[in-house]
Amino acid sequence: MKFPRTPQSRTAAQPRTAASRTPATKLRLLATGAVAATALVLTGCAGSGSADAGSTSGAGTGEGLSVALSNGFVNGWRLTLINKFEETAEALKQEGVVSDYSVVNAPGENSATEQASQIRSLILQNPDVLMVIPASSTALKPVIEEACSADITVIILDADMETSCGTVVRNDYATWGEVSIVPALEAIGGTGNIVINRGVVGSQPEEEFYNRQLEILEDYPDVTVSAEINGFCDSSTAQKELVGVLGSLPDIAAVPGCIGGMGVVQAFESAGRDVPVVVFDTDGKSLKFWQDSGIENGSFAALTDPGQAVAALYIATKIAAGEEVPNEVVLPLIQIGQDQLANYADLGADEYAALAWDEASVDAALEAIANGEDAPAPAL
Amino acid sequence: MTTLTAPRASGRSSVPTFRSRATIGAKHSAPGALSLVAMIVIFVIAVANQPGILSVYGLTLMLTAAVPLLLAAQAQMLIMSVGDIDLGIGQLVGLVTVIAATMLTTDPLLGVLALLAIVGAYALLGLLVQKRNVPSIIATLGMSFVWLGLGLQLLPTPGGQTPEWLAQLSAWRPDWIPAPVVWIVAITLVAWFLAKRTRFGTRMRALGSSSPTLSRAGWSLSRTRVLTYAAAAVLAVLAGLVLASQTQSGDVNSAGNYTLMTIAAVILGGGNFKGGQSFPVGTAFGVVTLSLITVLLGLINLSSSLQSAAQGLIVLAVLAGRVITERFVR
Repeated sequence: MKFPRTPQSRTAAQPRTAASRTPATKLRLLATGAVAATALVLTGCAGSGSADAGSTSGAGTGEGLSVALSNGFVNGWRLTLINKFEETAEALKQEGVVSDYSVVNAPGENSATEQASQIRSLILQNPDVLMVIPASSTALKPVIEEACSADITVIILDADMETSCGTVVRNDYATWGEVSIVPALEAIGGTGNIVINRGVVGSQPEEEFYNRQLEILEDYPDVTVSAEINGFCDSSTAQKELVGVLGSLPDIAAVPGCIGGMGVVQAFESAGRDVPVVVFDTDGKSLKFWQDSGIENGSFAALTDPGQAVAALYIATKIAAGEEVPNEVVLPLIQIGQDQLANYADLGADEYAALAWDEASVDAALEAIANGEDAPAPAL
Repeated sequence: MTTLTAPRASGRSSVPTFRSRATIGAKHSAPGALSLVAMIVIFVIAVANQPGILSVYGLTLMLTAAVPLLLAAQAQMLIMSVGDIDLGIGQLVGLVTVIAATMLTTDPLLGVLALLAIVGAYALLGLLVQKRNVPSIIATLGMSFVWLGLGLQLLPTPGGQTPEWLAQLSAWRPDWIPAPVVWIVAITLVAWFLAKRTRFGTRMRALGSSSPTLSRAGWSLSRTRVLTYAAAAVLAVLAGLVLASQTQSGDVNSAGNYTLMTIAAVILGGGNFKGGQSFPVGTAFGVVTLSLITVLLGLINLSSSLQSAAQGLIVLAVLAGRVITERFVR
């Protein structure tokens, strides 16, 4: 069973494994036959090795920041985020800004309890900056507050979390709702039948996303919503759902919503119908499909930005340097139109497009937020 | 150490000689002793990596998550001691966190009634397993979906607010002793007393190992199983309340991994799937070991993709060691 339960589930553009992995994991692991003693020996060796590293990375050494990133669960989008984070952290390490960085993924599938105990062990290592991509925007509040009280600079990524401390760096879900539908409505000239492809129904971000879409649709009286499908921000789910209802639908001009464009196109093509305006995923595979299929009807790609981890890292260095940063930094999403497609030609198949944040663009974004404006995206 | 005391040879017809008692004692306590060794080894490695653990603050941080898991594992141990297995305990604990974050705050009376209803439902489940011969694995798996459904109905997305008194529970942090250690010792003592020092505990084990003997001795099998299930439900409810007090919110999915974690803890601590044995202290070692493994793997900067695998390997190593010791003792 997969139940939408956190904001992260929705940003998760990758399909999640169908079976709940949490219970299965243990058994599968138990089945992993291997020389178990080696594991103990290995952990012992690794242990003595990193003990020294740990002592140099204590807080307040004045030789750069130690940064730890705790991640709730892994999918393609998160992996891109982690890679971007590591690239930037490595670069900053060369510059001496960062002394030490580590990424730890909580075991289990988006389990808040596992992540909480992991964060507790990170607190003991006393990093200067703790970045958290929470598995739950409620259950991790106490442990995040615990980290704050241990004088750790906490940055919460990719989640709308109301905490008494820490800085939230995220994309706005209502804005995502907007950018997922407006270009499609413009492309069809504000008239015609559409199918709304909903995200992870039941999650709080999806509500914001969907409500914003409905608000926008009020301004387009000539657009008829013929159907809604629950695509769960997943291409193959969207395809399956569409195939089920397509026979009963009139001509569809656009299928805006939570990504899944590839599956939507395939569903329409296999039914022998005209391909509507769709929203593609921002990963290399989807963009290549888009390029190769030659769809030029105004389709586009829009998704949350995995580059926000990079922006968050720069923001962390600013907080550590004593600069004033708002408690909530809302960053722009990533949008790719037909004309920008060529820029992403060398994106890996499983890699997601990310905005190229650097110190200057983060400064510009923070300044805009301080002036009450929307943060601008960095230039390509 | 209670694991080192020979379990009373209850349900056996002949009076055991000293020699057989000693052999049985060694056989029964060896697995528990092994989990103690595993726990100590992992603890030492963790401390070598991060000496900060040895402080009151460090131990508090490290063992906090073990407290609700221990309550759930003791519940699982009771059920396993009568030869059954509970595949719904994770969802049940999740449902309790949901009740704690919703009804218990808005309408405390209704919340308490709901929690009592869970205990009642478990008692009925025990009766069903006994009277209708439904395998517990099926009955509890079926109920897990009921718990999940009820939890989603009450709180479709994680959140809610737990009552103030519940938050106070985990806010209790004395300076001189790690609070989780106090809880772990207290819970283990209660479970040990219940399982090893009461007639009820003896009956539970007898039901698991040789129910005809229990029945010939004039005890009601149904009553024993019903009481076992009810006692387990009380522990599971407590687990849910403690978990809710730690997360200050409800999420029916928050404890999904408890189902297999508790079984792993019981097995690590010397229990088995056959029933007829209960190891409250071994279970506590098992829980602490499992919790420390998570902590340890986080500490040593092991590549995150390998963490789950390493976790499994360590559990496997302990279990393999257990099989070897058992053979050796025999």
